[in-house]
Amino acid sequence: MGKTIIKDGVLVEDDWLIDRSERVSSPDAGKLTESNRVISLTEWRQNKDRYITDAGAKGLALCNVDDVLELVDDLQYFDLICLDFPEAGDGRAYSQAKMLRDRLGYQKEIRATGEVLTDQLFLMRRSGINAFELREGQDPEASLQRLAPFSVSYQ
Amino acid sequence: MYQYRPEDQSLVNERVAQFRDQTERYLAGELSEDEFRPLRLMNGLYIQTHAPMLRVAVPYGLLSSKQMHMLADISRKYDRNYGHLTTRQNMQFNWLALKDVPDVLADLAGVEMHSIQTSGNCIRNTSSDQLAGAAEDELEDPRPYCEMIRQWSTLHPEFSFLPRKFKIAVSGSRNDRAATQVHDIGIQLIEHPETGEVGFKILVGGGLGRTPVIGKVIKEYLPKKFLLSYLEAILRIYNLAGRRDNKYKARIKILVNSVGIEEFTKQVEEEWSHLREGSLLIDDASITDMQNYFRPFDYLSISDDDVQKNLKDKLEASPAFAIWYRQNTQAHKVSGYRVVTISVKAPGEAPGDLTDKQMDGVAQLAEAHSFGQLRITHEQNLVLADVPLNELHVLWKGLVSLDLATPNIGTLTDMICCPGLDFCSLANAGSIPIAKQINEKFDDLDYLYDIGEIKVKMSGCMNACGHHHVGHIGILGVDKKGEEWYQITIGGSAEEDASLGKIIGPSVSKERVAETIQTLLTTYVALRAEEESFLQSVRRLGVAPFKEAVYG
Repeated sequence: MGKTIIKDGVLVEDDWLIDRSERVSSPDAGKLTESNRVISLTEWRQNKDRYITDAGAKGLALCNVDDVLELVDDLQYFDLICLDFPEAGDGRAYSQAKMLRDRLGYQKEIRATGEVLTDQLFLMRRSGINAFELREGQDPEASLQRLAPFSVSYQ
Repeated sequence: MYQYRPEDQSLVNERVAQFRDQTERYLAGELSEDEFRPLRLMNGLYIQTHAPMLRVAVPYGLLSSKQMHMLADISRKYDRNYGHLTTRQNMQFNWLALKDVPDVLADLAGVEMHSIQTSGNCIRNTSSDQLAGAAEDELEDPRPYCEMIRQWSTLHPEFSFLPRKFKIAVSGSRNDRAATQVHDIGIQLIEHPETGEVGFKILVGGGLGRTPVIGKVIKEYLPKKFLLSYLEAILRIYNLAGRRDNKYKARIKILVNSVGIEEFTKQVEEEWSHLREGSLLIDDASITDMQNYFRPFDYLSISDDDVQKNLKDKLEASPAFAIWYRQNTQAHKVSGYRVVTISVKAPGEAPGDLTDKQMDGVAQLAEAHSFGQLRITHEQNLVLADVPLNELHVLWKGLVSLDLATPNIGTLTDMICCPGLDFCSLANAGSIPIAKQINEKFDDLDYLYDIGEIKVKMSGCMNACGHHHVGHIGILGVDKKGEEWYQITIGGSAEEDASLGKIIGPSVSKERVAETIQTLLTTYVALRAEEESFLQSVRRLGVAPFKEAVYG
């Protein structure tokens, strides 16, 4: 059973396999055929050719210091991009999301991971993030209700 | 002034509902202290020495009489009958109860006000020239652009968690009264050197705090339509690349200095090239619509001869009125009108503090004599910008009865002063007691007039809320083994000739601050050339003779 996440305004079971260790170190790339796998940017750089020929769905987990512009020709290969919020007050991933959507035209799932808190979801959503893996202790139902506290926006 | 459209009103109403929900969850224990902190900060709510402090946004310092009455009501109903004017042209309350804050925000929303982004690591209230729209030296009214920036930056989803706070100022005049050179972004309205078309000169990376820096030019000339896209590009580069490992190195000035202005400009220009023709492009109609909110008032053509004679008679009859007129009023771009600065620097009072009665009083005076509008200045005074000459005397009498007619604008006792140790949990030393000491020492107005224009700015710690680096005389409170000491600088300026003050020597003890200033002034009087201001003397002579006089 996957974890419950918010995606496109509803609660769903997560069907992705995210190996947390990959976010800090390059993992062993042995399980190429396993579908719905999320890999790190380092892993992608090192084994790009093999991943491209693999038919399974692929996700990419970015750190918030990764330059999304590096992915300009590679986004087509990913069905999911995870953006990391290492602390709630670290806002770099908001800009990564905005650039992925507006500048690079990425249209598939962008998911917030890490310190994903109920009261920041509306800002994440408006930056182009459409899926939210809530931090432990955040109530999914309550979070869902607070996804869009504003009916208007200036941006 | 700007009037809320239905969507503006919805936004602030929904903000109140959001914060009410968050406060209730915090008080019920559902939100932790750490989770609640950024949420309250985004609504201008600090936990201070005594109680929560709420900073209310006054966009570019402009407010209506109705809004000022509401601030008076709030101070009566929820606080201790006074408010404090800040150097970002806002008003803050020092004694609120947390549980009341959602109600305070609801009251503010009722008069088209809020406290959104008056603290936190986000884009703060855009500040501007307190004489906007009335100044003789103005190229164009900066307020329509301030309002555009206010809207663009309000709840901006991408820029709500920047590395550090971010301050923008806009000036539309040749004389820079908005301190644009010491802001994260400073915007100056200028004419294109060839076409004459009005656009913007953009400065970046200025600021005070621990590392004072004068801003650098990033764009010599930007057509108006690109204002927001250019700001967005700067903010995006800063958000991604600004330091987050050390909060004292997190302001944009540190980034600009570390990569260099050329490289920073290159990165911004590259990002901007993808944004400039996008949804942030401002069309001419939007500019006109916004300008319409700030159209000049229907000024009366006041018969010059009669009015002038009448004013002259009154000035001759009352020396006190004449002194106030000379010191606290200045020319208006329309003949028959005058700009009045209301001194919120009465001796014996904390600089920038207004009581509820004074708030109500000035609101009434503005309604009667200045088209119902007031401005808060970054020097912590108020301005009535559009007063007819034939109403000045009545206005003055009204201000005298409110104890708001101290004729000291531009003099030594018209100090900028942060709340200091008495209120602020960051402060190392008191500011208000020093202001009092200075007022007691320099109680002879004739002496102050002889000294002439001098800007004293005082901060109780190196965060520099009192802008001490850019004071002609700057006073910085420091902590020395648990005692309050004061470091003195001279030669700073926040205006078009911006400069950072130089330290005269070791800090002085609390009892010696006013005495040290006296020595500086005596030295100035002895050495000044004819018509030379204190600042000009310091620039000509350097620090040495002043240092010699103070330390021997």
